Order: sequence, then C-alpha cells, then structure tokens
Amino acid sequence: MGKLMTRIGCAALLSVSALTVAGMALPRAAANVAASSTRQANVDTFKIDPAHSSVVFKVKHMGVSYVYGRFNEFSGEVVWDGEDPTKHSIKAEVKATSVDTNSNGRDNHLRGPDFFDSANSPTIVFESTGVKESGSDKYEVEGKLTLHGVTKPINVTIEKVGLADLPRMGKRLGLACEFTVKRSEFGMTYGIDGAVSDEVTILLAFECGVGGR
Amino acid sequence: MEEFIQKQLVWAVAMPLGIAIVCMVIAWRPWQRDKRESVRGWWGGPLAIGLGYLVGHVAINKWPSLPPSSGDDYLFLFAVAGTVVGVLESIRMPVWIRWSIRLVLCTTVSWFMLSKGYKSGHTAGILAAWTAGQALAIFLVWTLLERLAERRTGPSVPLALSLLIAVASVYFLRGSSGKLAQLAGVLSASLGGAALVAMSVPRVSSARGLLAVAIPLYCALILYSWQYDKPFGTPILLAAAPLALWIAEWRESLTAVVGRVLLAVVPALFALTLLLWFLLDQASGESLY
Repeated sequence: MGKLMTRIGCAALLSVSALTVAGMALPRAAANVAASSTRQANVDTFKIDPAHSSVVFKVKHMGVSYVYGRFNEFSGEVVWDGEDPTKHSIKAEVKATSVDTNSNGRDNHLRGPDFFDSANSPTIVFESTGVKESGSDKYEVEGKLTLHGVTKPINVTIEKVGLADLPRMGKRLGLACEFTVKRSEFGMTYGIDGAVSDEVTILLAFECGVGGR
Repeated sequence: MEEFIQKQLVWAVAMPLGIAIVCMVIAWRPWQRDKRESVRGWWGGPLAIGLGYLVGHVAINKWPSLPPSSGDDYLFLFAVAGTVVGVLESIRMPVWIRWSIRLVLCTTVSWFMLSKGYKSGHTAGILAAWTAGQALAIFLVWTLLERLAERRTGPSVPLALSLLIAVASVYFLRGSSGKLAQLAGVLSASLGGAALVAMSVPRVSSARGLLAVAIPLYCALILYSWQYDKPFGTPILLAAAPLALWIAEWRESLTAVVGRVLLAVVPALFALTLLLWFLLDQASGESLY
C-alpha cells in the first residue's frame, strides 16, 4: 500500500512538473509564431524597374581613356527582409544584345564572337548566394556572375540608397553598387593586349517596386 | 600596337606555318625518292594542319574553357577531333567506316555551330533539318574535294584552300569578328605550310586526312560567323568556293596550279564583295571606334 502511494505521488509530481514546463513553454511558442508572422510581414519581393534603373560599364580604351556603355534591357527580383539582412536575395538578368555604347558598329562588334557572343550566351546573370550587413545601409553580397557562358563567384558591396512607401508608386527600394571584374576570367580575351582593358567596372543602380509597379 | 602586330605575325602566321612544314617534312621525307615511301606520309597532313591550328588558337585565344562556353571553344575541340579523324583516315579502312566517322564529325560541327539562341527559339524538327542540311553540305564539300585531292597530288589543293581561307579571314574581320579572322589566318598559314612542302615534293597528297581538319574547321568558322553576319549568300559562296577547283578538272586549258587556285578564290572574293556592299549600304558615317 505504501509503495502504491509512493508511485501515485511520483506520477502526480511528474505530471505537475510536465504541466509547469508546458505552461512556461507555450507562451514562448506562441510568441515565436507571432514573431514569425511579423517577420513575414517585413519581407518584400521587389521587381527591378528598368525605367528607373541602370546597368552601366566602363573600360579603358587604348590605355588613354574610359569608354562607357550600358545595357538597355534587364530584369530582376530583390527579396528584402526588413529584419534579417542575411535573408536578402538578389537576382538580375541582363540581355547581352541590348549593349549600347553610342556606336552601332561597336555595339555589333561587342555582341559578336569577340566579346559577349550573344548568340550563344544571350544573358548575363547575377544571383546572390549570401548577404550580410557590413555597415550603415551597406551589405556584403556573395553571388555568382554568369558572363559569356562562364559562371564565377563574386563579392560585391551594395548600398541601400533608400526605402520608402511612396503615395502613388507604393513601396520602392533603391540599391546601388560598383565593382570590377576581369573579363579574361570569363573567357573574353579579345583585344586584351591594349585596345580594351581586361578590367571592366560595372555600375548598377536599381530602383525596385513591389507588385510590378 | 607594333608589339601586337609582331605577336600576331609570330603566333598567327609563323608558328602554324613552321609547325605545318616540320610535320609535312617529317611525314613525307622529301629526301627519299622511293615511291613506296610515299605511303608513310599520309598522317602528316592532319597533324600539320591540326597542330599548327591548335598552337595558333591557344596563342591567340588562350586555352578553351571546359565544358565549352563559347563558339571558339568548340572550334578548338573540332580541330582536335579533326586531327584524330584525319590520322584515322590516313590508315586504310573500309569506305563505310570512313564515311560514318566523317558524318559524325560533320553532324557534330553542324549541331554545335547552331547558336543557343537559335536552338531555344525553334522546334526540334527545324533544328534537325538545319543540322542535317549543314552536315550534308560539309560532308559533300569534304568528300568532293577529297576525290579531287586523290587525283591531284602537289600543292594545288592546300594552296587554293590557304588563299581561299585568307580571303575568308578578311570577310570575318569586316563582318563580325577579329578573333575569327585571326583563327582563319592561323588555319590559312597551316595550309600554306603544307602547300610549301607540296611544292617541293610533288607526290605529297592532301587526300586521306588533311581535309579532315581543314574542311570541318573552315565550315565551322563560316557557320560561327553566320550567327552574326547578315548577307545570306556569302556563307554559301564561301563554303562552296573550294568546289570551284573541280572546274579546273573539267577544262584541260585551266589545269595549271595558278589557274586552279584563282578559280577557288574567285567565289570567295565575290562573297567578300557582297559583304562590303552590305556594309556600305548600312554605313552611317560612323568614325572608327
């Protein structure tokens, strides 16, 4: 009888303990769910607005000057997490045929086998693989750049220019960055001996909107 | 700029030419007059053109990326494949095996020289038709020229091809690409080396191997350029130009080497004129960029 009472006592004690632990844990779980939904609310998927964005590059010509060019057709998507920068992601796609350097002959040459080989590599793609905050409105972005059919890892620093909810345009996000690549690493070696520099500086300025606006 | 030109002359002309001469001399042994020895030289043609081209290609264009990412990477691989097929063709083998290997190479060149952009925008049926049509054209040019080379030993075939590809090189330069022009120059120089040896050794033949590198590579250059150039007739003229050598076969009065070579070059010059006409028509008075 004594043993039975002891067992019942232990069982009751265990049950009370379990209920106490559960009682402490439940509000936390509920809080987590609430936090999760708040965070969801702070995550926006933006589309790049080509009318307010630019993809520009510059190269050294014959070692004496810089020539600037741009791409007129591009698109992309930015996922922006208002609370956790590591959740940001960026993907941008540029049509190689849309290269524009203010010279038809040169643009045709750039589209051809000597440079972009646009018939075989029609798009230039950047896709982020990781993001971390590196300062006030500055982010270190690791990603992959596919150019001329060759994909290479690349690190760039992106600046958040602004984020605002505008009366007629809705939520807008502005990002900008400048980085340099060696075109030879992407198999673009033509004229590298002096006519056109190996280093190409790329300047990106994206204005992105939510919901295709 | 002078340094650039010197480098081009050395790597795009002198090196391929030298390599081709060395290979041909070792293979055909000009110092041996015994006709039975001539059999030993067949493998020299594909090695001369193949190695000459590959060295020039790497010097101008760096090593190709693997897997291939652009058209010129494929050109390098075609040269390797052509050299292997050429050496195989130098060995006596049944015609059906030789033609089967040839068809595989022609189809491979044809398929990979259809641009990715074209492939993504057309149905499987159209792609199959283009691939088969182009492959058949390459096969015909190769096989007909081979027949001619079997009958005509000496320099006429490699010399005609060398000059023809030199003209095509100007066409590539004006039409789409300095790189293709340089690579055509390398191929032309390699063939020039083979022609130089054939001039001093009349028993040297371009049949059984040499054309396995030269024709698929030449056609691949044309097809690659065609992805960007607009005039429709010029690539056909350029590809068919070597067949003009057959005209010299038919007419006894034109059998001299110079006549045969000129006949092959005329369609290429005509193709070049067409392109220049096209470019002049498009010209917008732009300055040199």
